[in-house]
Amino acid sequence: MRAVVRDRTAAEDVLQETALVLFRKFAEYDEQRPFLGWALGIARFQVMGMQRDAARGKVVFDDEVLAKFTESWSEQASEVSERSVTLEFCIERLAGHAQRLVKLRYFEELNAEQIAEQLGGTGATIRVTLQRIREQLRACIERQTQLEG
Amino acid sequence: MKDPAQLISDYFDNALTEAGISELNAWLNADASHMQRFTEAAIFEQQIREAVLKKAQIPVKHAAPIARHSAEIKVHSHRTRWLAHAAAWVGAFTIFGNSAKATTTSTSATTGTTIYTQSTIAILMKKTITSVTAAILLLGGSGIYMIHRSNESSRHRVETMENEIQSLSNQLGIKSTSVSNRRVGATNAPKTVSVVQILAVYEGDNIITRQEKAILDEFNNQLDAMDAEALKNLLVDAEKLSSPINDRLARAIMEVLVRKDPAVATQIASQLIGRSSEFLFQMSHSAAQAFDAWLTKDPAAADAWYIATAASGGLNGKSIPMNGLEDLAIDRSFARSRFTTQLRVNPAEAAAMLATMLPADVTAALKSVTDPDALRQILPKLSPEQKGPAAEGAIKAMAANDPNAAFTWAKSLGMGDQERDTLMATGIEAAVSSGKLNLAGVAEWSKNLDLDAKTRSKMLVSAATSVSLIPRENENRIDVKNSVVWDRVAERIDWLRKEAPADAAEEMVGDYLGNLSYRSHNLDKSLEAYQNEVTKLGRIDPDLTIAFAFHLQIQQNDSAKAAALKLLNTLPPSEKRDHAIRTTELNR
Repeated sequence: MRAVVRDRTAAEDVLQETALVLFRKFAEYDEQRPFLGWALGIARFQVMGMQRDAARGKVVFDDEVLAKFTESWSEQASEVSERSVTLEFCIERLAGHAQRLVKLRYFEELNAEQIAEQLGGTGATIRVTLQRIREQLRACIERQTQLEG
Repeated sequence: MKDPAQLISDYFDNALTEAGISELNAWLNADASHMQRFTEAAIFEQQIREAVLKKAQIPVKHAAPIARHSAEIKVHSHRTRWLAHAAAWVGAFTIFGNSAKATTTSTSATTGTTIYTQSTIAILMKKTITSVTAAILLLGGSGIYMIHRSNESSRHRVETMENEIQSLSNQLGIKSTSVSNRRVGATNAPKTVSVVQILAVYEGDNIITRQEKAILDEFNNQLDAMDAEALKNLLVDAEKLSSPINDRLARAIMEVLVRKDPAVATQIASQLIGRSSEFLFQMSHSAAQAFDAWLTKDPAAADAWYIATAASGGLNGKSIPMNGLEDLAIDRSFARSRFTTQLRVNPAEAAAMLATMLPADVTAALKSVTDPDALRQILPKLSPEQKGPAAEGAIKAMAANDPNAAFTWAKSLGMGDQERDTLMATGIEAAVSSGKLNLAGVAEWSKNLDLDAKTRSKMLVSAATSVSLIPRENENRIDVKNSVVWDRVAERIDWLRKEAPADAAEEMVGDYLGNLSYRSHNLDKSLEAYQNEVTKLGRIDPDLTIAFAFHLQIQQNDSAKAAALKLLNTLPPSEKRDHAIRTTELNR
């Protein structure tokens, strides 16, 4: 939801609504089919419903992109679970300043400008730094995977 | 077209404009590999969020059947309840999808909520946690939630807490009810609830039954009925509880206390601030909120308390772990609140306060100043370092609407000549950018300004860039072909050369062309304009080329970086050129 709905509160609203629909529609679920695809399909329609609601125009993607994204996520999500533990390790290894940035961005859900207000600098520099941190984390995961593999 | 890596990164940092979002949609639609790349980034983004949340959350212990998953099982105390509720459902559905026949459910007649029995939960949690995680991940849940029903571990802990709080409950005249009363499916929520029950609800599963909601509502009613002193005592005793989630209790109490008596709330929260528990962390946020409320209600009293407390050292050693990360002394937080209040009632006093604040706090506080008159009073009190950001923000806003008024205001501030003129240069940039001033106006206003070469160059390049850009008819679209008036670029360059400080002209032209390339996303056109200048000059000018190449290489666009390197390699070796090449290569 967070990937396709810009506003956090709106994303959480849709998540809730989706969970409710899943609950109501569960009787219709065919056990022979992959659950995740079914759930994502419902989630997608929830987001599309939100998109049509002009008052809550927080959805980023058009219907076509949303459909492709749902499919792509469904394919990829199941392959990445092993990365979580390594990622935690890599976050721990970040320098203090980088850790603070990561926490402000992902835990406090502040945007770059808000982070800049707290830590100094500009939104642009914070965005660049965040991008570098992501790259560091990717590199760290790769290294760890090689070491473990 | 913006560089896809930048596009994706900006998207996740909420920095994309509507035009950027349109670009992103178009890019994602263009090729399946684009979507794959974006999805991978989205999943990674979510995993970072999950990992950070996991680190910040409080672990909840579980009974033996599910203990082996304890490292992954957390209750996120900062999230709204329904989110946990929804996520738990989703997790459960995933499991049911795999083992529906193995599990048993029942529906409470009184609540209408599907209830999972203890054995069901054990079965559920024996399934691979990955499937639950994946389902929640898929649907964007923030944190790993689980269905956590009453079990031996939590029951034991609740009983311990019950003993701890017994005397407190008696003291406050609250009936201490047994935890067994909150068992799911029990009928009729008790009319008087205890802190023990509330903690049990907080700590329990992520499904709030109607009964549990009734308990929470009743607890809030009870808090509302208590006076400030009783709430304060309750808070003090809540801190002593062994519950790892007593910070949630603190929030509930403080919310009511701040509303009832922000003075008492400020004082008790300030005393309790500390680092050794979530509860004490919570107090730092509560203190700041309470002080704000107190300042609104009775600024004189709040201010007097602050001055006296600070003078007596009462705030020493009280650091606010802002967001759990950045330590800010509480007096800094209080000072910013006091400044905001004083600004409304006494700008002169606010100015005096600012002069004693740290630069970072001043910068943050000044962002709230939009009144030119208030700012006029504040500026003389600021240090030279503080004046700049404060005055710049104001003149930008004013000049975008009325350049003449802005320049008159700048002249009224009593600044030194160069300081004032630098401020006016900022105003000129803003005025041109908003279409209120043309290049002739820039020349007229700037001719008598006492500016250093760097400031003048920056202003002129900015002005030339602004007038070269075509306002977008549709904010949702970047029209690469029609974003810059390319056929008048040569004319703007002539103007720049005419107005430029000595020896700065060619570097300014390079900056100007680089700006156009960056703003238009049109590398080809900017390279064409550059070649036109080379032809016109009859040589490759190093200053022009290096400045232009610098703007190309910062675009985070492979083609632009390659073009930058190619241009730099046409120059004869020099320290400046070699440095530019190294920088570009490092940035690739």
